[in-house]
Amino acid sequence: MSGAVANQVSGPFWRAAGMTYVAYVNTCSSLVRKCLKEPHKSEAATREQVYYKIATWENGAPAKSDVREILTTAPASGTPSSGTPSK
Amino acid sequence: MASSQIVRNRMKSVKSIQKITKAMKMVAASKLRGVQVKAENSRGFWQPFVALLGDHPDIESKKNVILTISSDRGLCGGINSTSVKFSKAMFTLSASEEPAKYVILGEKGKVQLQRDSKKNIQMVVTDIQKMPINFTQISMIADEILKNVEFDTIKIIYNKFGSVVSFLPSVATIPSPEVIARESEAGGKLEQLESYEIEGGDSKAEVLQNLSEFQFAAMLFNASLENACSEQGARMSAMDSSTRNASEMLEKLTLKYNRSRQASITTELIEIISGAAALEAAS
Repeated sequence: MSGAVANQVSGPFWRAAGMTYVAYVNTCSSLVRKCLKEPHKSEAATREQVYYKIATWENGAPAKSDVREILTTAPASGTPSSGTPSK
Repeated sequence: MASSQIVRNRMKSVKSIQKITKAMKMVAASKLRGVQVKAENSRGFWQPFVALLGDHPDIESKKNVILTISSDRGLCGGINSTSVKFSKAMFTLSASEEPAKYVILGEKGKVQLQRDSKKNIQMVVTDIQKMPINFTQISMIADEILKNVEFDTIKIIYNKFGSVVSFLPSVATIPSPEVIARESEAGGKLEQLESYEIEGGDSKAEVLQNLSEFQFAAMLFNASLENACSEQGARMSAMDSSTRNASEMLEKLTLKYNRSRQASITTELIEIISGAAALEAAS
């Protein structure tokens, strides 16, 4: 993680913006998926669906918890949305 | 008479348990088929990394993070306990100036580890299998870990899927880019990296950082798929033995029920006959 901070000034634009390589690769992949035609497009959209709950712990107790979800129609950006998932 | 009623109730409940566990076994078998294909295909993700960087579980590192992969649901045999046992062993093994930290994937691991290692848990991710596991999801989780957790190495503990009856607890070691850079200098474990030429405009540090991050996401992807396979396989065999136990129990209960039924009929007959004999003797 400290490497990410050190490289922020130098390097490609996405590194300077604070993205990790993994986030960059996934943004590019979702762009490629959007370029597909049907029926491959909806097939590929299933590979973009995300749902998980994450909680950071501090001093032995859960401090902050969030639900991350991306459904088929939403753009593939990791926007945290807490609450019940809507389908 | 009263005991035969109790036995009959027990038989009914054991029969329904048998049906449920049989159904769970079928469901686990069908889920296993789906995940197994994905897991086997994902093995090609980490093989190039091991070919390039090798596997060095004994690499020197101060800040260790132990990533335990467990399931969200129970009734899956002993795989979660095995993972937790190995995580605790890894924790004691990797003791350096700072204690290691846990990142836990899966509800069952969290429940077991929070009993005695609460202070060392840094992050918990649950509900991963609500939608089928895909690389986007795993890479988002990897992203969160990369951004929020400081580490020199991450050790991923998971159950590798051998077959429906064999699961191997495994550990995958992911060094951070600084550690890779340190070890790739002369005398380190990754010396052979120096002999590679780097094409393109990136510097060596950048390439190593990208590699390390992608290696983490790829390994995590394979590890969670393998663990999901192991979970379904363990659930299949657990439910199978449960069904077998239920049918054994049912046989024993049926015998007991029949015996008690026949005994009560015999008692009634004896009463009737002795009553009739008493009447005859009296008249």
